[in-house]
Amino acid sequence: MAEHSILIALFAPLVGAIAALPFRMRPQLAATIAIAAAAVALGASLSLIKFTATGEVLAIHVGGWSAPFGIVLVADAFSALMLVVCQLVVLAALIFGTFSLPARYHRRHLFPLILTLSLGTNGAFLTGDLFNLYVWFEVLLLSSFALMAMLRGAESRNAAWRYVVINLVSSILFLTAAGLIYGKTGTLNFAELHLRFAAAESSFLIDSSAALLFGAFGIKAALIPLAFWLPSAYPKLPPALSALFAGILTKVGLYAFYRFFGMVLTEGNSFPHREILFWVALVTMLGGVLGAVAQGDMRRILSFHIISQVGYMALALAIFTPLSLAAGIFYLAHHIIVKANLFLATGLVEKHAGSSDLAKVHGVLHSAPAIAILFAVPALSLAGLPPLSGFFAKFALLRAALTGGEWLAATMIVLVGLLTIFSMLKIWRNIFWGTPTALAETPPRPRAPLLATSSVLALLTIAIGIGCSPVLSLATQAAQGLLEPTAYLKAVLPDYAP
Amino acid sequence: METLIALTIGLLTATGIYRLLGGTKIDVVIGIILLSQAANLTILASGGLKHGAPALLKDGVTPDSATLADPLPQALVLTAIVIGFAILAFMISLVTRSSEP
Repeated sequence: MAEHSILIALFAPLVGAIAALPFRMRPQLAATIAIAAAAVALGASLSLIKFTATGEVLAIHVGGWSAPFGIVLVADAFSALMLVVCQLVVLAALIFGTFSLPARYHRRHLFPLILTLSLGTNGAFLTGDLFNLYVWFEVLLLSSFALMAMLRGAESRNAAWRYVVINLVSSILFLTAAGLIYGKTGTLNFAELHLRFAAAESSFLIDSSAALLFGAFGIKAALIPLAFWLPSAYPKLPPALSALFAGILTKVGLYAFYRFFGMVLTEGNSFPHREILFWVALVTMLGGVLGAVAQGDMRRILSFHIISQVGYMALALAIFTPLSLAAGIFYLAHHIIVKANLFLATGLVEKHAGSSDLAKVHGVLHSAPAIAILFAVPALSLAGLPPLSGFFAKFALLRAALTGGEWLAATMIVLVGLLTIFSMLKIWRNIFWGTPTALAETPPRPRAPLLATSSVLALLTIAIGIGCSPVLSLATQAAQGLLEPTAYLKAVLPDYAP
Repeated sequence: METLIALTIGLLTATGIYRLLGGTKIDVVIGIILLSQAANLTILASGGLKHGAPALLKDGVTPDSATLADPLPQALVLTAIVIGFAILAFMISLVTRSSEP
């Protein structure tokens, strides 16, 4: 019975996308179908959390072929948590997009494309083998390409082009790595690969493929020096879509990092991914936040902060203790919600004041205090102030770094946190304080559904902050599942005996 | 045979990267095509190259890895080719659209 939830989480977006496809001229109907499909997928993901929270792992052997020969769909605590959080953001983006995007987006199949994107992410979280991970990545990438291609203007099109090309290069690296791994080990199944890598005597089997995968996932997760496509592409998107992209896409890359380098590849293998990831993560944290300091527009500042925050989550993987992995997974869950909400709040500011340029818009606190509160909650959470979710994410990571004796990492966590506060204060001081700029005669009131969507995400941020212990215990369970994947191996491989 | 395939993959990758850095959008499209062909060949070669060995089982004959090709890389490469084709079509449509206002 529980296995059905896996299939529903995959089929709901697919069926919804097909059902919404004929109604491009009737956006309200298409939106209703899409929101219903996303809600069904969210329900299925929530039931998966219920089943996997105890450490149980669910697996479906598609077509009745047993692993490692057939295709498997696997749900453990980590994938269930990621599914729920991403599905929430998809739902928020759908509702926000329904009420804020102009009709030309609806005419060009906005809703089916958002659903196929969520199909790709759900598939990536649920798949149990490397080649299928590649295929699901392509599904979500092609949907995101088509959404990017809706942008107008030469500059936006150039940014979209760069986004497409760099992601294709990443896909080619991924594909080559999958081919090499199959040639060397004879399997692509995560569980079987884990056993082969653990038994491997020479690093010959691992090095070349691990290096290629590091590059491929690094581009997708936007680690410096592979991140410069992101701040040129994301600010061009309208808020509903940038919330979707910023919340989900780089985090799917990070999920792949955690799954492959945290679970499949084991401690003893020689490719020094942890050392490389440690330094790359530190540079990414600092580089992202310093890039944000130099920007003068909300969208661009927030895009650079995505990079900086990705560094934190990569650092958690590099430290690689049970505590740091749990902190990293908690960070992922918190960050997806917060980042999406920050872009939604930017959208509200733009609807209200016509721009999100720090030099042009001032005094929104006086003219629209509700928007100011909706920005303040995720912004303070991003910066890591208690009692919001970001505080516990940063605190857990800091503790993991200190108990691991990583003084440099701990210093950087605090320093980059301070710079993030500075950056958020810069937005606050310019956009929300000051003498209100002259608005249009009657400033358009933000519509209730937009405010409600953003409020729900803000309330979740507060709820995760105040009642952090269930999420933290789920993250601990997920981290445990990566470090000791016995339950995973048992669920996937029928004749596995430890 | 392996040497020839390896050299071909190397040549495709080198030419692909050269064209990818060429500057115009058509250069980039050609570069991506060549690179994805290199990746496809890598997958195909990863199953081991055998001459005249179909990936088929016959009744009454015990399967022998010497006379039997691995069918999985062939299936994988087919998937990769289809995805690559879709992406190629999308890229070319982007290039043609970029010349419109």
